[in-house]
Order: sequence, then C-alpha cells, then structure tokens
Amino acid sequence: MNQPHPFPGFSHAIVRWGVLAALVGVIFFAVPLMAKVYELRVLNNLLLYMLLGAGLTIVVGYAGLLDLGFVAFYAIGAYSYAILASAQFDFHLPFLLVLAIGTILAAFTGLLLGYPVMRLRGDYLAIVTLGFGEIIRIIINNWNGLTNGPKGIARIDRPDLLGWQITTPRDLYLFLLVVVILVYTLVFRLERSLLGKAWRAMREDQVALRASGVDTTRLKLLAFALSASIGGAAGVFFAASQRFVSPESFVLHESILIVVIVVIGGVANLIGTVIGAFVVVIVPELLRGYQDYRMLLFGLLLVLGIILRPEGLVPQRYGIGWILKKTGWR
Amino acid sequence: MKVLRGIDLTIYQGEILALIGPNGAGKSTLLKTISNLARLTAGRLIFDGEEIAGLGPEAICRLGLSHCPEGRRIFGTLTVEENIVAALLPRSPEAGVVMERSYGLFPILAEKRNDRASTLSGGQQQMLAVARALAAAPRLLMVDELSLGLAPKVTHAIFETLLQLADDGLTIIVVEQNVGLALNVSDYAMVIEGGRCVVEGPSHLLEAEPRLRDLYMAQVDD
Amino acid sequence: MALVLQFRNVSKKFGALAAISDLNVDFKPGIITSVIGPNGAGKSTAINLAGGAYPLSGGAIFLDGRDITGLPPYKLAQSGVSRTFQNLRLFEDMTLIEHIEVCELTRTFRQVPLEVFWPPAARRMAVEREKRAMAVLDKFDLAGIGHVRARDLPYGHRKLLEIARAIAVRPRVLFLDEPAAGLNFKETRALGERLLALRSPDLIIVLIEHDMDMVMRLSDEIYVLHQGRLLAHGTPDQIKGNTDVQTAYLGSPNDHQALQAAARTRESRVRIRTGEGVTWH
Repeated sequence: MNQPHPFPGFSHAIVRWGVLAALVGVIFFAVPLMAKVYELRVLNNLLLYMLLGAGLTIVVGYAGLLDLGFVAFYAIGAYSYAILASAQFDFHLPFLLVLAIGTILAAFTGLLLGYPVMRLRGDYLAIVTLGFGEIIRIIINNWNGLTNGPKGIARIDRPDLLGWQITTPRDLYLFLLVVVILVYTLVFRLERSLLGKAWRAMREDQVALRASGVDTTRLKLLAFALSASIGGAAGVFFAASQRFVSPESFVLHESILIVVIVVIGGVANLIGTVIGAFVVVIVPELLRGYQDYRMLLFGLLLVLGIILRPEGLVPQRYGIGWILKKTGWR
Repeated sequence: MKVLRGIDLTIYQGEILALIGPNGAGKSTLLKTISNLARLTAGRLIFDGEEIAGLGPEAICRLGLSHCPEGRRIFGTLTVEENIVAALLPRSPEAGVVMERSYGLFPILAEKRNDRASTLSGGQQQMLAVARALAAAPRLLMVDELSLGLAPKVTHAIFETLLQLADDGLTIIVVEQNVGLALNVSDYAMVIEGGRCVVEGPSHLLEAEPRLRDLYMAQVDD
Repeated sequence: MALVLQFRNVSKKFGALAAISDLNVDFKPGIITSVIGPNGAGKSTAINLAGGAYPLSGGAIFLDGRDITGLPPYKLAQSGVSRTFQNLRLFEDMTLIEHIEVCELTRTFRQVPLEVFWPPAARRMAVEREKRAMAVLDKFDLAGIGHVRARDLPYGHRKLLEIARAIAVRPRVLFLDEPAAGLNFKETRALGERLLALRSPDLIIVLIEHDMDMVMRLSDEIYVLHQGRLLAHGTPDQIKGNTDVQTAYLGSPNDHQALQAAARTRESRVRIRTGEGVTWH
C-alpha cells in the first residue's frame, strides 16, 4: 500500500519484533507468575473456549452451516480421554496417543453427522444438529457400562507430555496457550487458503460454485470434520485438565455458549472469536458480585450487543489479516 | 456516496417519461427515492401538490405511486393470482376486474394463474411484476428495466398497453435500455449519467439529437 | 469426430407442465449458436438440464458422444459444461480474482494441506494463482480491477465477471443465459465483440438472448423454441424471414411502426410540453 503508514516508526522491523516479544513475554511469563490459582483456572477455561470457538468458526463462520450440536464433539474428545486414560477400565494410554484418537474419532463423528444433513440448510440444519448433540449426551448418560452414566468418570490421569507432567494450573495454562496459538495459526491459514476462499464462495452462492466445478458436498463434509476434530481435541484437554467428566458438562447450553462466542465477536473472524470467548468466560466472572442477577445481566448484555453491533463486535474485515497488514507484517 | 445530484424533474398527468443512461447512473435510485425505498438526502418530492418525501413506502403506494422494481421481486411461493391479489389496495377496482385486465394484457399468466410464481420463466416473472404493479391502480406507475428478459413481441405489447393507460390519464416513468424504443414511445425523456441529468427534453426532439444517437441507439429500423 | 453437444429426445416436465418436449438439437464448436423463443419457451430449462440443475424427464444429452445425462452440476462443469446465470450469481463479498481462483479448487485440491502447513509454498501458490486469474480477467479487460469486490462493481462489469468465471473452468461448452439483459446499446455491442473473440474450434458457444440486434449479428446458427418444442432452425436470415417465428416471437416488422405511429398521435405530446426544447445541463 502506498498510503502513509498509520503508525510511523511502527513499521520498523525492530519495533514490530519488540512489541511482539513484549506481548509474548507478558502472556507467557508475567501472567502465570502474577495470576492466582483461581485466576489461572479462569484463564484455562478461557483458552478452552477459545479452542472451541476456533473449531466452530470453521463450520458456522467459514462454511455458513449453523451447527447447534457442537458440544457432542467436545464430549467425544473428553470421554475418549476419560475412558482410555483413567482407572475406569484401568487403561492408561499416553496423553498424546489419546489426543490423536479423540481428535480422529470426533472428526469421524463429524463426517457421520455431516453426511445425512448435507441437503439441509438454515433452520432445519440447526434443529438436526441440535438433536444430534442431545443424542450423544443421552447416550453418554445411559451407557453405564462404558461411561459410568450420570455419575461420570473420575480419577482421570494427569496429562504427560513426553516426560513433562502437567500438574499445576500454571503448566496447563502454558500448554493450552501454545495449543491455542498453534490452532489459531492453522485455522487462520486455512481461512486464507484456496479452501477457505471456496467456503466463502459456498456461503455466498452454492449453485454458482457447483457450476464452477466445485463439489460442495465435499466442502461441507470437510468443514464438519475439521471443525469436529478441533472440538474433539478441546474435549481431550478438558478431561485432562478437570480430571473428571460427567454428562452435565455437555448440555445444550454449552453448544449455545460456543455459538455465542462465534457470533458475538463477529462471524468468520478469529479475532472476533477470541473476543467472543472473553465475553462469554470473563464477563460472567466480573459479574460474580451480583449473585442472582448475574446470568440475567449477562443475557441482557448479549442482547444489547447484538442490537448495537449486528455484525458482531468486530466486523469481518477487521480480522487477523487486517491487523497483520496494518502493522506491516504483510 | 452521492448517487444522485440536483435532479429537477416535473412530470404531468398522462405523460410517459423515459429515464435512460448507462448502468449505475442512478436511474433505479431515482425511482427508489420517489417511492422512498432509498432515503432522500436533500430536496423535495411533490405529488399532486402534496409533499411525499419522508412518507413510508407503503403510504406512498397507497397514495397511488406504484413501483415495479428492478429484479422483479415477485413473491415466489405465492401463486400468480395470489401475487396480484396481494397488491390490491382499497383504491383498486374489484379483484375480478383487475384479474381480467391482467390476464388480458398477459394471456400466459391466465394459463398459469394457479402455479407458484417461482416456476415462471424469467420473462413471465417480469410480466407478473408489471401486472402486480398495475393491480394497485396507480396514478403514477414506475417500471424499472421494463423490457429486461422479455421477448420483443411482449415488449411491444407492454408498451402498447402503457400508451393506452397513459391516454386514460395514468402517468408513467420507465427505465429502459432499449433507447430507440423508449424514445419512440415516451413523451419526455431524461438522460442520467453519474447521478446528474445530462440532457432532457421531449422525446421526439431527443431522437434527433446526433450525440445521443451515437451513444445509445441501435439503427432503429433493422 | 468433432466436438459436439447433442440433445436427443430431451423432455422435461414440471408437474403437468411440459417445459421441453422431445427436443433434438446439435451444438457445434467454432461458431455461436443462439437459442431464441418466447418467454417460457424452455430456453433456460434447456440450459439447466445441460448444467445438471435438475433431472431430465426423458431423453439423453451427449457431449462428444459421451452420455452426460444425470451427472451432478460440479461433474458436468468438470467435464466442460459451463454456464452463466440469467439473474447474476456472484460471490458478492469476494474480489474478482477470488471468483476465478475458486474455480481451480478441484484441480488443486491435493495442495490444500501444503498451502495450510507450509507458508513458503503457500506464498508461491498464491502468487501463481493470482497470475493465472489475472490472465483470465484480462481477456475481459477486468484485470485492472481484480482486487475490487463484486458488490462494488457496476452492472456491466458484473455481467462480464459472470462470463469470465464461466471461462475459468476451461469449458468446452459455454452457455450464456441473457448476457446482454440490462446492458445498454454500447455495452451490448462491446460484449458482442468479446463473444466473437471467444470463438474457437474447441469451444461450443450457446447464446440465449432477447436482444435481436445482437442475436442476428453474432449467430451463425439459430434454434427457435416455442412451447418446449423446436419451432425453427437456420441462419439469421432464414429465421428473420420465417413467418412462424414472427408470429410466435419476433412480431411482424409492422408492429414497431404501428407502435411508433400510436405514440406519435398521442395528444399529450402536443398538449403538455409545447414550446419546450432539448436542454443540455
């Protein structure tokens, strides 16, 4: 771009790298040193929801398919770890192996859900996926032999990363932070790839895209599978961090929260997803002082947000790409 | 963005006014501004001595200004007949009379009166859009892209009808790409470019303007 | 055997309505073939059938001797049947370049993981892809505005973009559904020149259009449909002189003069604007 740089001097490589280093320093070292255990728990929760948001952004944001049953994949990931790495059946498979299994299993379930609903759109798709989420929860709730039913599975193994035992909330924070950065980078690169462009085209006009030789069924299935795999991975992290899972964690309310994360920040925009996760996780924490009115206030804030910013808090054009461009990285 | 600048226009009862000019010049916006589907930034709109700027689109329609919009905008899930019925206003004649007139104008619509409008071909949808606009018994009819997608024979038929309606006192504004035809039929015409009126005048005089001929017209008789 | 697209006894019924009945036509490469006919004659339906939008009720369609009946739209596009849409179907929020790029996805699907995981490769691929897209846009003089989003384009450019996108899949058959609709005389003439330039021995071009000036100037061959059947077939001159076609579609040459005369005699023309002249602003 030839126009004058918005922050003269900021375009210097040294300044840019300096700012980046400072950010990394604060987030990686200062936060875990300064935060108390409770605050770290909240932050870990935030990171998990950021992961879920990134996952759902693929199917809802990029592909434009409203999925109200996303929590099912989260549950599948969580129960994969709970069953394969706990005292439940005395399997104690390594964390990374279960992470792979949970991710693949969730992706496969995503395909399984995606295939029959290919022809559905809009409201109908939302209702079927909503039902799917409930079915998975009910199966988990009733399959006592495998999942221990409503009582849930406790005494889950601590995650072990090739010798690094993740024990404290601080370890978990650092680990999840690295995962979030990695996943966000990959999802952003996906958005920028030709596949990401094709998803956008599909959102605009399926018929025209098909007439251009693109198999939209394949695009949709891929979106479901990729999205589900991130949900599954998040589930594995969830089980490993809580060391206890029960069906109560995977109710419809959770699915809706994740949709809120994707929508309130600005759909199909990862910056928006990050902000959405902040709103959904941090705002209720800040409202803790108001006790009974907390959820009411939170709900009101959400409604107000949608009325005032119908495009989401961050409109789509102000995404990661916009920031990179404005700060001179690209 | 300014789409229209300083348009001054008077149209008398029973007149046919043609708006011509390149795509994106502001012709459709002018019609939308009249029916308040696009907001007027500055200026006044007076219809029959009454200020209409700021009235809701439905109020404007009830006053007798009927807009047949670009892109047809028919109600796809309603039948042909229901589309026409939906447009009836208290000022309209009885439903039967309106139907008879619509079907007389477009016989093909009579054949398809019970079909869903979305199953009509593109040109038939255009006919339905015109019929629907007429069902509101307008005093001023505005038709955007009249001949779009219509067979030459049908275009002629519609213009013939418009001539009759104008003789009965209906005032008509058409946006039309076929400039030769538009000037043949209309009484007065306005060429809009870049949101401004470049030239205006009685159509038969404009037809003879060499600068216009070069810009917009095919050889009229080939 | 030369490239040819054949409709053989093709029929299409929508409920009780026979949109197309027993249609037999051959479309040849290297020329422009037009399909004309009254509104509702089945012209767009014919394109939709060839493009796989809905199944045939009877008959078959062959491309180069191969039966392509019933293939899904994306497979048809991959085997070379490309089309534009009567009501523009653009990806409004995407740039012109992106419109062309997404047509490549099927050919380059395997490279997507590389593009996501390996930034240097992604950069190289993006540069090359953009270059290829620009080359396509350049054929329609759209390269200069390659980074503009479709929603910001004026109507004439939008129509061109539809055609550019249809060309991007490297078609063997190109169906154009009313490409001149809504264009003014000058734009229509320019479009005509571009279509003439597209002619090539390995491309079948089928034009559906109501602008008779354009049809008669560009076409080498014309098929006239009426009520789902073939009414006439011939060169532009043969079609112009065909009385059946005049009755069903064109209207007689006298119609226009009658209309003109009717307009001339209108009282209002004399009554209202007496003394007004042409005003240039």
